[in-house]
Amino acid sequence: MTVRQITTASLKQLKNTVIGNPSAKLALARDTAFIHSLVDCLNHPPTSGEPQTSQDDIRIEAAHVISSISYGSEAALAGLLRANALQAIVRSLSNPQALAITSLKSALARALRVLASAIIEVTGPTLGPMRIYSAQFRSEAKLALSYLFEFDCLDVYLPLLADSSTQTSVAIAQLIGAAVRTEVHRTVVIEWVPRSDRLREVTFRRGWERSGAVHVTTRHGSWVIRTLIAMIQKKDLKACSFAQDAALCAMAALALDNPPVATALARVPTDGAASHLASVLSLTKSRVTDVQLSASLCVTNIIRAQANNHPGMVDPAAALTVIQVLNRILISPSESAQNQTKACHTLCSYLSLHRHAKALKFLAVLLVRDEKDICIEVYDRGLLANVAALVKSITPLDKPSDWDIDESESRVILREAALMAIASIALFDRVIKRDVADNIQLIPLFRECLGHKSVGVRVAACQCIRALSRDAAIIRTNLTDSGAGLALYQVFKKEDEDPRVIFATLAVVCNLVNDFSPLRPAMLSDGLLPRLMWLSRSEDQEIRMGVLWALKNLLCKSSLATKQMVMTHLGWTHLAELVNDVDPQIQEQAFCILRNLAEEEEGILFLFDSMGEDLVAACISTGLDSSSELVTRETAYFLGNLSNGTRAQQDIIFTHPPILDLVHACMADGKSGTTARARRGGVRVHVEALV
Amino acid sequence: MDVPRSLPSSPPASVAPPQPSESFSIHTTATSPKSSPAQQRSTSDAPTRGRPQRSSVPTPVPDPATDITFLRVRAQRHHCLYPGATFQGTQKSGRNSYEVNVTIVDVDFSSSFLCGYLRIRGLTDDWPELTTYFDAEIIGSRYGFLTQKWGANEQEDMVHWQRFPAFRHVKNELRRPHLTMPDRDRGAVFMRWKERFLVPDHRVQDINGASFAGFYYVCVDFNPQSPGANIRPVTQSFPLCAEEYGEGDLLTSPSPSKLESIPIGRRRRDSSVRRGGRGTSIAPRSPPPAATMSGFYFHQNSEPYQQLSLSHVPEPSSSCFEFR
Repeated sequence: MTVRQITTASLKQLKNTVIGNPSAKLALARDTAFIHSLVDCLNHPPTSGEPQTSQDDIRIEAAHVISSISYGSEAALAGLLRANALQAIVRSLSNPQALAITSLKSALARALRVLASAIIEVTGPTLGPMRIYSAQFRSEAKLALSYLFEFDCLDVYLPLLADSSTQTSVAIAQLIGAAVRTEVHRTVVIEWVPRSDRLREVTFRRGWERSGAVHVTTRHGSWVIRTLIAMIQKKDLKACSFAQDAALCAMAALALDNPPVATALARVPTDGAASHLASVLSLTKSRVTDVQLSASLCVTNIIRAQANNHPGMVDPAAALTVIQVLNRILISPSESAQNQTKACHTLCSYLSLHRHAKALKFLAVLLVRDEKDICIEVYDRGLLANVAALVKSITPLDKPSDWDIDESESRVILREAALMAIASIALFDRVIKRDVADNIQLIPLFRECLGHKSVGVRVAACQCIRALSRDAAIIRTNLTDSGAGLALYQVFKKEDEDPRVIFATLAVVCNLVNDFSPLRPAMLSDGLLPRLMWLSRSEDQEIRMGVLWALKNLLCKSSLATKQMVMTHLGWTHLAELVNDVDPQIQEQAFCILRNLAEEEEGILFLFDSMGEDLVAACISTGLDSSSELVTRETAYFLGNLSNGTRAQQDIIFTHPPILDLVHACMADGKSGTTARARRGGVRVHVEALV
Repeated sequence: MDVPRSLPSSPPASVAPPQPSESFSIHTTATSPKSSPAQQRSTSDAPTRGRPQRSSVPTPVPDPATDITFLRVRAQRHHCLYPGATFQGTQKSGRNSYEVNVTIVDVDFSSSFLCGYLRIRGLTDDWPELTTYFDAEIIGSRYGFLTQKWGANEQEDMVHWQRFPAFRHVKNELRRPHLTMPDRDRGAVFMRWKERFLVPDHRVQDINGASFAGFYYVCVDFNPQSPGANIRPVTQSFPLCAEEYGEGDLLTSPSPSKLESIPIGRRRRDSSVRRGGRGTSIAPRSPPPAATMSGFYFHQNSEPYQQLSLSHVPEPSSSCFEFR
């Protein structure tokens, strides 16, 4: 082991060595002592023994090296986090002397941005390719990320958004665009007010009013948003596109799922000037592709947030503009893989318009339209065909089994993004699914990608098959004939597969076990139930719910033999425990299972013989007493099915008084409105059946 | 990891960040920011009923890179049209009558789509029982009454649709160019069925003596007034010419002489209207008649007006499946 000397020259040489060299980054990361020294340089640089260099030069190069190794392996980033690199950078930026040196300030800002971008990819939610990280590392990264958005930390770097140095301000805008991905962080950034303004507010406040509070003002608005708007509108041509790109990405991050910001940006000023949304829209026609994409993403997030506020009120002109930009980038042979990947990601974000969970009005208001309209619009304009052509061009089907080993990362990322886009487009509408399966013929490609080395590509391929598996005809024909259904099932059975892939395959299995699926018998005879039971012990609530979902579908219209087989694996005691689970989603699935078990008389008999009258009654009481309407509804259906049993079986309703009381409460209680009426109607129908 | 809690002091006031000149106001009182989709899926789907809430289960924020949807596609039910519903009856072709069963597999009103199986008995000697899978286009705002494919022109469309009494109640709402109509509950549902493949073996293409190259015009009446009144008799033909309906929305009613088979005084239907009324007597209400499913098979080379007449088979129990 050698002791690395820290000088300006040695750091420059080191920087050139590690750039684009993962193994060099890893080797450096293993030198823990050096990493700590490097980080320490930011605030306590050694005396420079070189002529014509200073301690500030050492700090600048140290910042550059930190930036370079931030995007290295998990070990490199972990080493930096454990050396408190983030805190050191922030501490350095808070030093007025550092702020007086433009080159140092911009180097530190860049390092902060790069480190933050690397951290967020570990903590998630990730916008880019899926990677695998250890739980401990993820925990360390989360801790670092939370520090970055602490109030005192924001006071250090957010003011630099308006710095006179373009490089510095752009770095902070890029940091916002990259690192702000959750509602909590979005809020703190939007509500942040410069310290001087806060002090001014305190001076004018009366004694008993809360001081130091940070909140979105109603008169002067968000300082960060206003500063970003100013950056977008910058007329300095030299740095224009660079700054605009960064500011647009930051604006997009802040507008995501944020109706107040979206509304403010879309508002037309009283003086008749164009709204900020209109200004951003105009930038979708920029000559610079990066700016087009960033503007498209920004427009997407604004109109998406607006649609959340006013369902069905998507700006059609803005939507069409975005589609046209994405379409052009996707079909252009001269566009880089990176730009095409960004286009696919923007498309996925665009397609999640309206994709917020709606209330039970779906059941009460018939024939209502939902967000699939956007998917249809995108499909009608040829975007699906273009994305399909793109992914076909980069995915060989007639190559050796190890075709993906030496693939470039950019190609892998692009494939993942394109497949996710296809899955999103094809998720709801049958015309689109049929086109994907029958005409565009992508199923062989999906099947091929199930075995890809990249987790992200495997997940995306599973999601594509999932989208198609929501169609009984496609299950019966394409997915069976192509072997894709069973190939996915083999991935589902892999015990060492990534949990994200398992989650995606489980969603498909839920669809493939339905009674109209020819694959159901094959899966049942190939270890389906043992595998489901193994997954039911997962700590992941989504996977546990997926297991119950699969069992529910499996039991629908099933024979008594199948019911007996399922319950041999699931267990009646365990089912009763699930009925009492604290999670209403789990409860709901458990009652669906009970309902399907009791769909015929022989099933009712089987249920009573196995559970006993008292336990059945207890389950009914639990369900009817639930605060979840979905749980109560399924319990009512279960109760209605039991009314087809023998007289003795029906009598449990009358011999267990709590049940009658709860039924009465269900019918009498609840809020007014269609949802409550539908629920009461459902319960009433089944109660009348008992009588 | 050691994270120092003491943070560096903020920059002195003398280097306060410049204020952007333009004012920008954000009002947060209109709506609160949208909660995360996972929270919405669990909370908006589970409104409280005024009872003490259970302790909330922390729901992880879904990673948009791993799951592409936060919405459920719950099985939809509209009267007798629901997954698993069965209809029983006959298909008449000339003097022949064949026993027919229809089973609904999936219903998606938001996509104007339905699918199921149609099983017909005794059609040919080689195939004593034939089952086909069919897709259905539900007529409404997405699919109009004009077929514009499968060899059916506008005149043939109107001739067939006019055979359903329920069609009279909707024809004033139709909009060009495809004769669509707003989606709402009308007491009847109109569909076009296209059989796609045989079940269980979808690879079988040719059947000696039978064909599913055509399609069905179908009407499901949820409130049939009387048996046999859901289809105009085949003997009463009224070749509808183009001048009987113009470019406007209106389709003229048949002449009074053709209304003899249709109950007098029939009004615009609403499925919420129940015969007998509520509370008019203390005696139990008689159950409403089973919904009827009527249809006509059409193919240019087939015998015209092969008639499908089915009734819903009520089920005392229910089961459910849901696509994930």
